[in-house]
Amino acid sequence: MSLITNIRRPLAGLATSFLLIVSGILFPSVAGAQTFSVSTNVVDWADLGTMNIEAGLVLTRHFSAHLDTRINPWLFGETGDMDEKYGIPIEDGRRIFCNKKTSVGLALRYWPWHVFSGWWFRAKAQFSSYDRGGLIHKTRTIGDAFGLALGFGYSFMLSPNWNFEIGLSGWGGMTRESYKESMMTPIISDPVWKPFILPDEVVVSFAYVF
Amino acid sequence: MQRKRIEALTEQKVAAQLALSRSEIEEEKRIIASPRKVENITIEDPEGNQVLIMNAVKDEESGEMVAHEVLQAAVITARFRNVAERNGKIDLRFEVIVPQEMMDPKWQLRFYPDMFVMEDSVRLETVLITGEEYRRNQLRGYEQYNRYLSKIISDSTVFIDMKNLETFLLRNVPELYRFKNDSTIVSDKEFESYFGLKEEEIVRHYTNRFAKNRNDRKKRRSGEVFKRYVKAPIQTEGIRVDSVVPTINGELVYHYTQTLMTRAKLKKADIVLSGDIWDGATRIYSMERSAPLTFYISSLSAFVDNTERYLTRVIERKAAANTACYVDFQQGRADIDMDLGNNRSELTRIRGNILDLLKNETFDMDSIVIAASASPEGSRSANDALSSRRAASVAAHFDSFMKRYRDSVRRDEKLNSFTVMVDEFGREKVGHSDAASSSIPDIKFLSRSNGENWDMLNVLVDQDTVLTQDNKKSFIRLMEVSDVDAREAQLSREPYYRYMRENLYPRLRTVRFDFHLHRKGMVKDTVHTTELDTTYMKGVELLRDRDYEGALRYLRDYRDYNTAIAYVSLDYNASAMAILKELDKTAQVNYMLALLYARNDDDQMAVQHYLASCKQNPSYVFRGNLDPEIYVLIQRYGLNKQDDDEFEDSF
Repeated sequence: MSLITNIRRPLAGLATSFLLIVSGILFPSVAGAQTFSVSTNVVDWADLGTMNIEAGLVLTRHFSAHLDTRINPWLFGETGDMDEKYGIPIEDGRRIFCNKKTSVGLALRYWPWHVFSGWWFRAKAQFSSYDRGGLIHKTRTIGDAFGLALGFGYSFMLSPNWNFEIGLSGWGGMTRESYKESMMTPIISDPVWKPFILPDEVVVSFAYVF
Repeated sequence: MQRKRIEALTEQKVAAQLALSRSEIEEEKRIIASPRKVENITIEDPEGNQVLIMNAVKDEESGEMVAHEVLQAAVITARFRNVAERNGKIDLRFEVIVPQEMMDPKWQLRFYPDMFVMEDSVRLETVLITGEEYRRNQLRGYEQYNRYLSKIISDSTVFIDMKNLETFLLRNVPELYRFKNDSTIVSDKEFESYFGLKEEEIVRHYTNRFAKNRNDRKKRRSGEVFKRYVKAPIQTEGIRVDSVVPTINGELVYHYTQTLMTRAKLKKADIVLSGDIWDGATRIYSMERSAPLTFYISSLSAFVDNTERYLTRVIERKAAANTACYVDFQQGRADIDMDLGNNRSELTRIRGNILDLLKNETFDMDSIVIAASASPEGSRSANDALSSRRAASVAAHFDSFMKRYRDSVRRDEKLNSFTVMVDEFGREKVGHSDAASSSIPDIKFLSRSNGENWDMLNVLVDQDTVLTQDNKKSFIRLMEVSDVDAREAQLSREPYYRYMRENLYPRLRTVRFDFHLHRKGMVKDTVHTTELDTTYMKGVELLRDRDYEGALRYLRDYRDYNTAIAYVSLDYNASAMAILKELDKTAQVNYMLALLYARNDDDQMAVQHYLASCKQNPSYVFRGNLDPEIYVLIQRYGLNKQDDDEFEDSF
C-alpha cells in the first residue's frame, strides 16, 4: 500500500512539474534566486565512461525538475579482426565487454529545506536502451527499459555556485530484452517483455548552480 | 565516634553562652578607677554646705589612698546591662562563647542571636564557625559544580553552522548577506529570500538544535546539579561572620556588636542565642536556647517636657492691599482710551483684583483710593489738574463697572430665585423669593492727584541701563533745582531728555490703587488670641520619637529646656550648656547639667548637680545608673550608698 502511494504521488507530481517547467521557460525566473543547475555524476563516468549530464530547474522552494541523459557507446576489448563469413569481430580469447546505454529521465525532486540545499527525494520516469555483457557473464543482454526510479540524497553547498551531491536510487518497470550467448555471436534470442527492479544510480556528482 | 560525641553533647547539654562584652566592662572599670579621678572632692549641696565626697580607701600595706574597685569579676556573669542611647542609636555589645567540646574540623557551628525588642523579635546575623574539613568539602563541591558549569556553552552562536548559513544567505538572500557585519541596519529592515524565507527561520535551520537543546537542558539542570554537588553551600546572606577555625584548645569567643536604632518607648532589648551543629547538609545537634541577656536602654527623651506651648497673636481689623496700574493717556487728556497701549489688559487685571477681593471670605472692602500721577512735561499746575482729572476718570470707570456688576449679580439672583409653585387650588404660579438682595457692598472710589511723579523718575533714572554715568550725574544735579517747571525746562535741553521722555515718562503716568479692607464680623480694632504653637509641639513630638536632628530643626530658635535636651542627645554639649545655665535649676535641669559636666570631666560640678537633682526628685537616684556618665560618677564616688537597696529593688 505504502509503496503504491509512494510511487503515485511523484507520478502525479511529474505531470504538474512538466507544466511548471514550461511555465519556467516561458517566464524566465526572477532576479535574486538561483534557478538552474547543471551536474554530472562521477560514478557514471567511472562506469566504463558513461557520459552523463543533468539539468535542473527550480519550481518552488521545495521542488525542482531535472532532465538527465546518459550515453555510453563504448565496447571494450575489440580486436579489429573481422570474421570474413559474418563480417563481425573475431573472439580470439581476449576479453570483450561493454555497458552501452542511452537513457533519458525526467525527475521531480523534493527538497525538505530548500532547493539545491540539504536533503532531497527524487522520483524519475526513465527510458533506457542498453546493451551490456562480458563483465560478469559471457552473455550479452540487449534491451529497452521503461520505468520509475526512486531515490534520495544530500546536497552539500561547497560555494555560492558549486554543490556536491551524494545519493542512491533504484528503479523498476518493464523491459523488452534479448540475449546473445556470447559477446560477439550474431545469434540473438527473440525479445521478451518482463518486469524488473534494479539499482539505478549511485550519485556522487558535482553541480553548478546558477 | 561522631555518634558518641554527639551523645555526650546531648547528655551534658553543651551550649554556647552569651555574655556581656568583657572588654567593654573592663574599659568601664578602667574609667571609674582611673587614678586621676580618684580624689576627694568637695562639693556644695543645694543648701550651700560643703560636703566631702571621698572614694579612696587606705591600702593596708603601703598606707596610701588607692582606688576602691567597685566592680568585681563576678559582673561578667551578669545577665543585664544598662546602655545609653546616643544620637538615636544604641550599641549592644556581647560575646558568644563557644566551648571546645562543640568544635570539630568536620563540623560547622551556626549560632543565631535573636533580639527581642518591645513586641518584635529580630533574628540578627548568624555567626558561623566552620571546621577546616567542613570548608574543604564545601569547596570540593563548588569545584565539581564549576566543572559542570564549564561544560555549558554560553555563546549560542556556537551551535550555528556558520559556513552553510553564510553560503545559503549568499545564494538566496544576498542583500542580507551584505549586511552581515552591520547588525544595526539589518534590524531595521526585514530581508527575505525569493521564497519568503526570513533570516530568523534560516538561522534556526542552520542551528544544531540537538546540541543546543542538550546545552539548554544542562543550563536548566544547573540548580539541581548545584544541590547535588554542593550539599552545604557557603552562605553569604545574613551572616555576621563565617570563620574557619583551626583546632584550638579552650573556648572560642566572638565579640558581637549590634547597633539598634532607637524608637519611641524602647526601654529594653533581650538577646537570646540558639545554635546547631552541621555535618555537611545534616544538622546533627541543636543546642538549647541560652538564657536572655538584657540591655536596659536609657534615653534622654524621657526628660522631654511635654507641656503645651501657646502663641499669642494680635489680629488687626483693618487691612490694606495695593497695586499699581499703568494706564496710558493721550498727552494732555484724561479720558480712558481702552485701545491705547496696554490699557485693556491693565484695566481687566484691576477688575479681576477687585472681584477677587469682593469674594474674599476673611475681608470686606471699605473703599478703593485711586491716585493718578503725571509725567513732568508741561507746567506743574496743569499737571496737577490733569492727574486729578485722570484719577477721577479712572474712579468713574470703575464706579460704572461696579454698578454694572452689581446689577448683573442682582439679575442673576432674581433669575435663580424664580420658583414655580403650586398654590392651594392646584394652579402653577411663578414667584421669586424676596430674600434675594445683593450682598455686594457699596464701594467708594476715592480719586486723588499725586501730581508730577518726580520720585518715580528719580528711581527710574537710577535703575536705567541705557543712560551713562555722566547723564545720571547731570540728572542728579538738575534735580536740585527746586522749581519743578524750571527743572523740566533745563532737563529738556539735555541730550538724554529725548530718551527719557520717550522711555521713562510714560511709566510715570501711573494709577495707583489702594484697597482698604476690614476683617468680616470684627468690630474692635485689634483682638488677642492664643493658639497652640504647632511648630514647637512638632519639635517636641520629634524629640519624643527620638528624631533629634528633626526636633532641633523646629526647636533651635526656642532655646528652652527641650532645645537643650535635643542638643544633649546629639552631643552638642556647649550649646546645651549655654541654654541650661540660664534656666531655673529644677531637678531635670540639674540632672542635665550633671550629665554635661560629667562629659566635660568636671566631676565636682557634675556630682554637685547630680546630688541636687536627687534631692529635688529622688527618682534620679535610680536614673543615674542608667546614664553611663552619671553611673561612672556614682561608682567612682560611691554616691547614693544609702539608696542601694532601693536600686536593687527596682529591678
